[in-house]
Amino acid sequence: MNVVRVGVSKLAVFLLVLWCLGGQEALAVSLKGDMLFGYGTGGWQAGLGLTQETVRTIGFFGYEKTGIIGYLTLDDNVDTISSWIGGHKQVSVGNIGYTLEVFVANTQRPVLSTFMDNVAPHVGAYGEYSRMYGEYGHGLSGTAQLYVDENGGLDYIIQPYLQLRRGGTWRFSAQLGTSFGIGLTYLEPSETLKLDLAYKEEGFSAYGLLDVPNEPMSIGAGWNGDRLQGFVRYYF
Amino acid sequence: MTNSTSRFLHLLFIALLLLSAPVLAAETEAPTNITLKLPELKLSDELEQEVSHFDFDAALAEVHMDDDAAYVVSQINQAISELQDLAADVELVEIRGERQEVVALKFSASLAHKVIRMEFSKPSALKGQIYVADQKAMEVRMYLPVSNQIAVQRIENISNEAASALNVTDLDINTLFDFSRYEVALVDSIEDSGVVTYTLRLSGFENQVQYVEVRSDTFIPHKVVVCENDTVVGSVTFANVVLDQNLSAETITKLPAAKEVRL
Repeated sequence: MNVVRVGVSKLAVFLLVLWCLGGQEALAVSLKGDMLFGYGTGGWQAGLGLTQETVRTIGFFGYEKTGIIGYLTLDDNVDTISSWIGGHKQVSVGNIGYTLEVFVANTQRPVLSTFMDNVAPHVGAYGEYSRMYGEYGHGLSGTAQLYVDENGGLDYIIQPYLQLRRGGTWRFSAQLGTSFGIGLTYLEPSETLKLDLAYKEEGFSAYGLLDVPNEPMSIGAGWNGDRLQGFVRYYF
Repeated sequence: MTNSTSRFLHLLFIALLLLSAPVLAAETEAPTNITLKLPELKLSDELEQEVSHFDFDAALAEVHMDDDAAYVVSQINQAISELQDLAADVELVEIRGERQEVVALKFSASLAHKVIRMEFSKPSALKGQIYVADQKAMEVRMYLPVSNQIAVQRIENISNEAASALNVTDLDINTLFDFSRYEVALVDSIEDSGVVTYTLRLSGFENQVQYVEVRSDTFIPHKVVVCENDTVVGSVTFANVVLDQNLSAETITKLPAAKEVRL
């Protein structure tokens, strides 16, 4: 028996089988949870998060994530429970990606898993488009929040950004809309460390998130001028 | 998978099998039947049975082929039979009316390490995307430039999907292993500076015909043109082909430093 010939033939069958997936979808569903312990402007806080996500491959070239994320946190010195519940869809194919998200919350939209709780109840939507050209890229993201308390009102922010991938991913953004500012985000290549800095009309803000290597845990901190949160998040 | 893609791949698959077969007759002494055991790939029961009982000689005997074509096919087969690894720039062109869809990629494969790599350069939306299939590790890794992440999938999960895909697509198991309709003919041979370029014509699949070009200095096919009703509908071109350069598994499977996401 010619072993190499069998190898080529197996390769042919293997390629055919793989290629058949080009038009097919593989589906993976996951349910994850996390517990938060932290300290913020409202004192000690504890929280619980649940994430249900479905990942669907798009042929050979990418995947689509759809899911629901919900967080509840209770602060020592705050009577109301802070919550953020959102549904999202994220598509990544080659050099093109987009994200759509709708949410109901009484906290700020999370920046690096940090939830600031000084916001009135609102419903909102977030969208992002991203395009890479080798090491460089650009994109646009936008958020709109409609307040549902007695004062009402609408906030919207549009963020065009440029992206550079060198020793990690650097994103330089401008913030336009009901608030003006500039921002810088950094993602370390393995995404173990994430940083977000911004200077807006309201002042300076800084967020950081560190995944503890080989542990289902992350440590984060956020500061936006008048509010502060530091936390440990344990994933299960 | 669209009908045209399915047929196109079907013909390519048949071509691969044809090119793999003849050397067996010359080199095998006792058993001419070859058992293709694919323990890791869970194909549909029907396909698994067909593949496991596949007989190259019998299949080849069903194909109509003249002596000239048989000579070229045997030379190609001999060249391929000694292949350990291969690297090439591949360009796939699909013609739809006046539009041309071009996909260009660097392809490398090692039979020794059982790994395949595809690095896309065209179209622009896929530039930088890398796809690595490692049969030893039973994993497929896909690097996505936009998210700077590596999506990892187990091959057994993929093969389960593929098995069900093979059940539901228009691939007909009965016709897939019926070779009596196929015909291979040598339609052209041009000599230039001592190197002969042969053109083989593969036919037998509905209204599609495939032309395979091969040069006598390597006997590795470098161009496949697919025609429907005398109109070119697509082509696959292999350029800068390098054979047996002892590619290491690390070279083929190397991906940018990025976060891995298991699907």
